[in-house]
Amino acid sequence: MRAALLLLLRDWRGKELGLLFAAIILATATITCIQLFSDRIQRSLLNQASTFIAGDATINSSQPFDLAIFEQAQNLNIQTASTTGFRAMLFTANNQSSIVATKAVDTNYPLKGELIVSKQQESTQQESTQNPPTSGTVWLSPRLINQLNININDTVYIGEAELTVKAQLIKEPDNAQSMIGLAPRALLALSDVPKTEAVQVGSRIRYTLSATGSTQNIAQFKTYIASLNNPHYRWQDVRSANRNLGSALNRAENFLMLTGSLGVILCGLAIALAARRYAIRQIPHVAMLKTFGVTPQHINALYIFNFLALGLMGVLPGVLLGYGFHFFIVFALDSLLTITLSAPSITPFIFSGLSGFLIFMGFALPPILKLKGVSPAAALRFDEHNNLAFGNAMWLAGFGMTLLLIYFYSQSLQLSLILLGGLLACMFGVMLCNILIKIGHFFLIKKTTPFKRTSLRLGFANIFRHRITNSLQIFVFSTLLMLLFTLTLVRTQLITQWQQQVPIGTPNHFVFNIFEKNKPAIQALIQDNNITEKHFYPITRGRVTHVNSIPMSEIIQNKTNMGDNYERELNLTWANILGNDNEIIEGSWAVHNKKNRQKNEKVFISIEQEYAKGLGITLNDTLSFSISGENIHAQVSSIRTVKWDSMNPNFYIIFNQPLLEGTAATWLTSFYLPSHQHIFTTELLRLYPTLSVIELDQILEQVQSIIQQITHAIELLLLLVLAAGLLVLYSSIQASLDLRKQESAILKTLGANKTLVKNILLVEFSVLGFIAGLLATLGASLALYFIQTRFMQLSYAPNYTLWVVGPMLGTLLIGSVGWLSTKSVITTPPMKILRSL
Amino acid sequence: MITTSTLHHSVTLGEQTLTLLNNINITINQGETVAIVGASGSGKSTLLGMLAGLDTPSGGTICIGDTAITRLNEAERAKVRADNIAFVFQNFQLLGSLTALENVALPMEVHNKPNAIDVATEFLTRVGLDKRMHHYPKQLSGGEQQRVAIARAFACNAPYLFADEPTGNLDSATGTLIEDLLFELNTEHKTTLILVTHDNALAKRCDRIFTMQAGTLTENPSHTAN
Repeated sequence: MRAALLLLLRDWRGKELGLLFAAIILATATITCIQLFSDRIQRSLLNQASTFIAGDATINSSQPFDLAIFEQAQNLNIQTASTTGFRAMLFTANNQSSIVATKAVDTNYPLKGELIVSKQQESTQQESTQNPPTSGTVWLSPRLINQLNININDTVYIGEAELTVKAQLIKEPDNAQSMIGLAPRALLALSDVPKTEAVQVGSRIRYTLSATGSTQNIAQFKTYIASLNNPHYRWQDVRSANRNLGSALNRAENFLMLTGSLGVILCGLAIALAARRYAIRQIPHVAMLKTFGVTPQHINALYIFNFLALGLMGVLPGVLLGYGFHFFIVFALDSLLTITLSAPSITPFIFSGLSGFLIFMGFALPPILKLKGVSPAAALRFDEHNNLAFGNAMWLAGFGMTLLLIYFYSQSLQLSLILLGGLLACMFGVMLCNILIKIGHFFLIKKTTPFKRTSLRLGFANIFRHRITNSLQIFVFSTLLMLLFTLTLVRTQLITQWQQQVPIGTPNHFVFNIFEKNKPAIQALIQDNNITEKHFYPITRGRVTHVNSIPMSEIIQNKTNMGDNYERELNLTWANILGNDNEIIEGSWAVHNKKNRQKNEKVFISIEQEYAKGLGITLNDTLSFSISGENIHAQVSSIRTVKWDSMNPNFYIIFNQPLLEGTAATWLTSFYLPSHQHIFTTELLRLYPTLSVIELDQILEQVQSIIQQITHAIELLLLLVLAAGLLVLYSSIQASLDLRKQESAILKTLGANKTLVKNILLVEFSVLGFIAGLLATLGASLALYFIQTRFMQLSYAPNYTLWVVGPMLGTLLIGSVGWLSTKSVITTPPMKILRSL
Repeated sequence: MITTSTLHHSVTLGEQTLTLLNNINITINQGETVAIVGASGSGKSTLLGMLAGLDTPSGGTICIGDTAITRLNEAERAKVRADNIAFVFQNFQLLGSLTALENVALPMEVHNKPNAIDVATEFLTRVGLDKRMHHYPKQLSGGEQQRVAIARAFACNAPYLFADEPTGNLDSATGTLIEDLLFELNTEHKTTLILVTHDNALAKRCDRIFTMQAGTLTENPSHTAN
């Protein structure tokens, strides 16, 4: 051990370890930076998204919660807020009335997010608060205030409770939850609920318990709630509560995972290159030690010990540098970050330190372990010094380690295999290139010599002569470019898809309960106001009673958390053709072109995939429905997926023909209403008081804002990975610098001028860049196909531009970085170079 | 004593097989000084490497004392080298990151021998570098570097010393000084010295001279050491 320490200290002093040590520090710093940044962004986004449910999670129930639940929450250090929702009649002093969606909240509400209110009659002056209405007061939605001509400080009655209107409720954080509440909102204190006397046995009440706490505690709480096995309790978190946001967050997390994994590969490459350079420079050293009688096992032990020590020493400054670097980025990009970042947690520090160490050992040890095989005769022969070929076992070890690390990092075997596949494609490409270079060299240089210019001839000759070293370099370059192309294109597609998901003009108002007789007039009114409605959907409420003659109550017995979902009434519709948001994945759409349903005619339905899966429904099963007192049996002719995040009206079950004759059904439509036309809904409701309007504009705004922030975050991370990529590029070129220096010095002593040497290097690097760009395009195209279709659940869009831009970018980037990095080769006097070698 | 029996070695280069050593049978007795001379590429250094156990021949046997090193694996050969063999190279083979003192102490340190620094100091003083022992190789002249290499070789206290063109990189005056030092120390320590050289004057100082030609070794029978 003493000898190993001495070796380490002396190597350190001799600056041999400098590049390697810098590589481990920078690798750990890059990973720490990416980890910290993504962890903070992820937690901030989740935090912000959790305002959608005004907490980290909620439990909904049709029954009051047991006291034990509150006690358990307290034990787990979880903060809770209780909400009770019910419908009641609101009366004004002058006897005007309306049904209101009452929400009674305790003083902890909202746990996350803010309430936006206006305490003036005109709702232009708004303020945010986290304090809900106090006992005896009520906040009403502007729609209700306009509809009933209520003034601030007026007295209103909800049930038997006399309440003073203190504010207009402009926005509540968990508005998304109330979107199915068709009536305007009245927010009051929970303590006032008994006074209303509206909560009676048999009343439809919705009890909600919001919870906030650490991820771990919330997870424990969820397990506890599940263990209660109460079919009335329905657990919801940000993702399950809002499909739009859930899918955006999932994809963003997958992207962060992808970014992190690519960062790991890049850092691994940088370390592998630095370690290989170190190993090559150690060959004379090892040969010398062997002439002293040091055994191969002893050599291994010496270097393994040294690398363990070096790894441990490099990790701490790496983590600290990464911490500082991430702060610098946060500071520098402050204006882009529209969210306040959560404080960093300890996990990324531990994870990054461990990753940095494992990456270092994984990528640096294989070339170092090759040293034990160095022949002691190398001490007698100079030509063996540069020979440290990577054997098959080394490649296998490298790929194995890469797979392991990506898996360790992403926890996704699928992603790990996809990326490994891309790397293998690059490697096979490199092998093919090697053969092509040999053939190309034979024809271009030996046979026809088309390059009259010396620099071109020598540049191409160099590519041939250094083909082994160049193969490794092409592999590194192509891997680097492949990763960057993949990341950039996934990011572009992700952002485009998000922008398409909630484009400008997305319907933000839904109108329910349109009677057949009012439909033409409402359609005309909408058109007169220059508003484009999407479509009018027939709609009726109904309940699934049996599946294949088995009662629903039997089927849902074991579906603890979802029971409520399947038992409740559904919105049902019928159509001649399916909308664009629907895609049939099994069976086919049963065409029915008649205007009305014929008696005894067979009815077919198309059912949404998740709903079908939840009840175990398959193709050709028969479902029985109870619709307006009528029993209808329908056969499943197709199962389909639905783009819930499109914001268009969509349904679990669609019938292929009209269900109810005449006027029994109502209609639903949706349209986009700009903020300045907000008054339109009031006007619509004044003319048709039976209508119900759902205003989604606030929710959409929130979703758009969060998606925009995720987009910024992803762009920032891309910048980070690009920086890591440049580090690899630099390391890779540095690794080949010794040989190039030696050859350039010899050329100069033979009379070559600086321009010639410069041009030879430029030709060599540009050709390497072109080949690497081409291979990277191949690898990236393969990886992109699988990432888009399998990992990110995006649609595959082949990118033909990449086949042109990829090789060009490779030529330009590697040509210029290579040429700039080897400037010292050109400027240093040849004698100095030859002496230093 | 070092003996070889029907030693031969060949390498394949593309489709060609090149014979480097052809049926070499020699015996070098304990305490002898032996020179191997010959044209460049004749196989001198290859033979030196084989005799020292740095490389393995294609066929034949090499024995150091009673040990047939050609039958040993790399780890076992390393043990033989550690106990028996020291080297002096044409290009000195000093480690640039170590001082002269550390270079000399290195073989002792890797074998955990006690007092490595003291022994190294003693030998560097013996070769006249007591004032330069904390200098790095690049701060030393060629002659000084070779003196460090000689100090390192003798500090190991190995019974066999192999020298590959020990004066090949030095001017004639410095070369002579190095030769003198090498033979002085060799006499003091009663080492068996086997050296490869182009320098006839250096070869003539040895007890026996062998000539290598196209892989074949012949002894100059008329030679008497100067």
